[in-house]
Amino acid sequence: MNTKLYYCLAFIFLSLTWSSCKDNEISLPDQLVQFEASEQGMNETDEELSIKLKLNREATEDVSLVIDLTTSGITYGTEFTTSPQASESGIQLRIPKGKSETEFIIKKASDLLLDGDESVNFKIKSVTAPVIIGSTGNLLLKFGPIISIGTTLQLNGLIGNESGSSAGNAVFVDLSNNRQTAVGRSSWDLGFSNGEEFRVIINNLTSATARLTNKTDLNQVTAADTLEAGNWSLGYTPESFNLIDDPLGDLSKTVIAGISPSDGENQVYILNPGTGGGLPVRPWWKLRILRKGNDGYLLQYARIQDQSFKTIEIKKGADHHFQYVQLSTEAKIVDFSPASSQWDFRWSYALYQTAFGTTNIPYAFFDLIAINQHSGVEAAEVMASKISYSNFTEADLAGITFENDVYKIGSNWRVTSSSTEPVGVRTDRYYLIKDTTGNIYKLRFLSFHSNDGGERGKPKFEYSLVKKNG
Amino acid sequence: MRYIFLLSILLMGQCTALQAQNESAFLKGRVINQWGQVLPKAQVRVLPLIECTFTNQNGEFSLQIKPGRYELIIGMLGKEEFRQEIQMEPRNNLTLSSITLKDSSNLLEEVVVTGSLYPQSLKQTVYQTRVISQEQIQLRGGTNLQAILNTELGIRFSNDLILGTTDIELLGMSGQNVKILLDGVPMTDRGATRESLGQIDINQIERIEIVEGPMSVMYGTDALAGVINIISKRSDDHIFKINARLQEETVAHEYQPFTSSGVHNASLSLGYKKNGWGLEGSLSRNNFGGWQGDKPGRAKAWMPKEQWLGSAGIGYNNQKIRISYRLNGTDESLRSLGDVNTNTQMAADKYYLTKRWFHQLHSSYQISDRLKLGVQGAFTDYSRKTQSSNLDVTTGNRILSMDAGAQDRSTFQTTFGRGTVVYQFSKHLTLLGGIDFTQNQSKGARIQVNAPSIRETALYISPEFRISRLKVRPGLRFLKNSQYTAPPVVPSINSKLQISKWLDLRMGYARGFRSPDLRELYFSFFDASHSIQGNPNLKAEHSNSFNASLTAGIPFKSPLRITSTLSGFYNHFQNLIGTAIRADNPAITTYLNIEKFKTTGASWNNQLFFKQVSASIGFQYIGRYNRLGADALTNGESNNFNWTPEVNSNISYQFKKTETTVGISFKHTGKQPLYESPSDDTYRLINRAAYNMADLTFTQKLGWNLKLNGGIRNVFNVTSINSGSALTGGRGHQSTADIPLAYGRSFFLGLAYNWAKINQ
Repeated sequence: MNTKLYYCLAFIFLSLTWSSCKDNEISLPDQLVQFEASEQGMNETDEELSIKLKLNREATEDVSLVIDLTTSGITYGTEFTTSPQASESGIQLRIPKGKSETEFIIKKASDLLLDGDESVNFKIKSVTAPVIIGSTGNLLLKFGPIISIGTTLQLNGLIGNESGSSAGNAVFVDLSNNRQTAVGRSSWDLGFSNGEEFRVIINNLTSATARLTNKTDLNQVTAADTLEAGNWSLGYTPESFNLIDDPLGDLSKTVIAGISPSDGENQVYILNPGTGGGLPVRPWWKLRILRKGNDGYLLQYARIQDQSFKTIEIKKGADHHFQYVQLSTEAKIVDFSPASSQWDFRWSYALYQTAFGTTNIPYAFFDLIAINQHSGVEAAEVMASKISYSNFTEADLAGITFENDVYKIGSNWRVTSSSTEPVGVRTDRYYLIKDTTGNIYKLRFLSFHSNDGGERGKPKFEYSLVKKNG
Repeated sequence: MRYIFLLSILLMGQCTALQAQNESAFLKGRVINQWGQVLPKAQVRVLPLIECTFTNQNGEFSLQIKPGRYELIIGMLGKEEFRQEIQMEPRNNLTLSSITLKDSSNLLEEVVVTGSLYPQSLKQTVYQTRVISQEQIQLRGGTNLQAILNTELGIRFSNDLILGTTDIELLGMSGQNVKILLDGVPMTDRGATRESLGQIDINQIERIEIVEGPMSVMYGTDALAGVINIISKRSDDHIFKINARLQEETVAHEYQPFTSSGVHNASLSLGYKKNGWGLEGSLSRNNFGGWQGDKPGRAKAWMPKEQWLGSAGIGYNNQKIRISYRLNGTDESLRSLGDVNTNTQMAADKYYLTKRWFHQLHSSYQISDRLKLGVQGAFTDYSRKTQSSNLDVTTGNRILSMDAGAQDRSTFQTTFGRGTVVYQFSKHLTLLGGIDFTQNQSKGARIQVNAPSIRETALYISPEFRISRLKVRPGLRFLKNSQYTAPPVVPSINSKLQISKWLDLRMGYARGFRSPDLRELYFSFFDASHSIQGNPNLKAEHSNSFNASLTAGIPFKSPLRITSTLSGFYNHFQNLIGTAIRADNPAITTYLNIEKFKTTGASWNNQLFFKQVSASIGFQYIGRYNRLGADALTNGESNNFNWTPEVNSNISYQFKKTETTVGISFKHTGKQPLYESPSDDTYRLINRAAYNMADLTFTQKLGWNLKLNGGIRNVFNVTSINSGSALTGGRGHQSTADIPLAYGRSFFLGLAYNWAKINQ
């Protein structure tokens, strides 16, 4: 009797232990290595191009891979080379443990004359286990511009280990060239317009703010000037619009007034570089901007407490919309966006606006998609209930109205919190984008969040050519 | 009545036999009722001694005590208490041949332990205490505590369907101000939500004691609104018992036998006790299949939940020492199923996996006739894992999500120790004092990496004075906290005046407090537009609380008994921790001691017992005031309390011939007016809708130790109520107008097997 009892109790203990040990063990996805896209073009102006090979997750141990190349109409060694160099067996590459990508560089010989139909086919020949080759194991590189027929891209929004909901990169996408360019969104502080107007923007990808002082001498501005103005950081109030540029990108409504030809009218501004989207606090700047001749700016800048200031000259350029300047002890001009004709939209954290009660307030969004409105890109939203994504063809373009609203796609393509819709990409709609050269693509988002099977900070979309330009 | 038997057993568990002394003599007696029948199992106490005994099968008792002057008290459930002064001479036995206990005019002899070190009858305790008895719990047939408490006055539940959690609200204050105790030991929760309430095995609960108002002197932090003390079942000496239960329940119209849809509860427990040694073990499975509601896809309105709840215990007691160890284990899986992403044919699922190991040690030592020591220790090891995976619905392959924030594991560890001493100076003065120690440690993605552990040490002292019919119990608690400046001392005073034999007046003042928790001190969360940071400079929330109650056990001729309690309370809370925008950086939201809150209210509770009928009806009217900050008045918030009425009733009837009990439990929760803030500087009054909850249940004895249990839950088919809110936000901030309360009318049927054998 007692023995039975002890058996019973032992059973209960065992069951307890069992139920606590059992765990829903779910395996990690297979490790795949592949190119970013199956076709890319190297423009006439490009001297070199980096080709990335990506793992879908961090390497659990060192990965070695070999890339085979087959040329067509172009000779390796004389007309182009790669770094690292190709041997008999191909290009040897390595992805160290903990990393998820590697790259090799293609360099064209200088003064090379090409017809534009030369190409190289790269193929992942082998990779060390347990990694396997993904579906994009081939890359056709054409030595001339291409018009992609479409592909699937996953944007690389993460710089390092930052959380996906505070992704550090802004990513520019060139659809026709299957190309993405990821740049740290806090890598610049001021953008000087290359257009006819003399306007300067502050960084809305870091929620930077600026305020006018009533002084024209930088050295007269001290820490005291940062006090009386009260709040220099954004709050959820309509008044906060006074601290930032027009969220829709209207250059006539920048927080820094148009730069006057008469120096005496250009007053000192105080700039808070912003902490938006998980950025560390950075020191503030005082700055004053003057015109320099008919086609340039002169920036005077210093830290708030400095007794003297430095200057940098910024000459207007042609290829880009803005000349970007990074402020530091020695301010410098930096590359941020690709040339204005070489991107169609930008994915990034950005400061925009939202309705609050009866008014709008500045409001920052992650995953905000801005089309390249200044280079003629236009977009339209199509509800799948009208025509499904796969059935949409050139014939359906009639009746579609394209708009150049910078945030036509904006944040409409996904839901981050809602009581009525599932969090994730919206599968009930897709977009049409008329790119900088007039090609029309249909584009739908596949995933961007753990709730839709994706990864935050690495949105995935597919697109397909509907109509070629011309 | 089995009920009385259970309580008597409980009382027996708290008595230790008296010891022989040289000069001592025997006090003997025989206890009978007014018709001359002997009364076994009546409790016999001799003040100021702490020990007590029980009458045997012949209604007789015998105690050996030292010479002196004492007060003999004999009590029994359903009977009026017998009290008599006695004088014991050296070596001179005293025999009281027939002590008559009359039927009591009320049921205030129920025994409670909350706020005290030894069991006291409801009539004796200085706290106004509510008891939910084993009979009520059984009749309701609940599979979780929420199903039992949802018709209690002053208690509301709120459900977070995204996280699958349920929080309790008591007297207008939310979960973090309600202290949940299991056998007097605090339960650990990971945040402000009292999830622990849903992680207790209902089959192991003997009864529930609810004390409204702060009990901060005895129980420390969090007890601002009140204390819910869950008393678990204990083994009885010389008894081997087996209890098993199987219950099936629909979830609205959704049901599949024993699997998936519906609620499936199965439980087994064993207990054995002999020669002072006791062993016990239990295992329950609680499976909730979720509720689809009006959701069209894979995602469900209420997510499925599977719980395994186990316990194992060992104990020993002799005449001087009582010691027991018990381990409660909880394993809970909540499955949040995602809709299929039609662009990729992938569905993203999140599993929330909770494990709780709750070790408890209870011990008490009878040092002398007048001195008793108690030591309690507890260790909680709690972890919650978020496991995200993606299911390819075309192939059935499931892989872990690679999203950086998708996998998380938070752990919480609480170490708790309490030492108490009770010393009876005289029959006019009993001293209760104690030391408490709590240490909390936590790790997780949203807790700052270097968050230290929080240690709180407290010393409390609470003497009870008895002068004639007046009992006064002041108390002081002295605190020291390792991470923030705790209030140095917390006072309280409670009193009870026996106005007449059937009328008791209780009055109390207490200062309540709540220490800021780990989250409020060290939370850290940043995303696009939200930056929330803990604030290590927080102070404790505190309240001044006043309460009074008048309890009447109206004397009628047997068998009608009525008790009626009229009570009122007023609470003024200050330094409540709320979220606010940081002054030096408006982009960051942090926790600050900004909010003030007042509640007041009155309730009137009535209980009636007449033959086979047991009925109660209660009314409560609670007023809440000024939730929205100091400048609320200038911005349109009214200078008045906003009142909400509540009415509840429990009626049961026992058919003696067929051994059937039928019951109805009902609660009306009235319209709740409250303010919301559509923009920074305006407030407007909205009304949260009223609703009715009712259960119809029955139990039927079947023979072979089996009992059938069934009924209808949520008779009025409530699912959600209108919040009255008209707020609609911007792109990221859609708000819902509906508050989810329940999943609609459900039906249940259960079978319980209770077998016990007395092994002499």
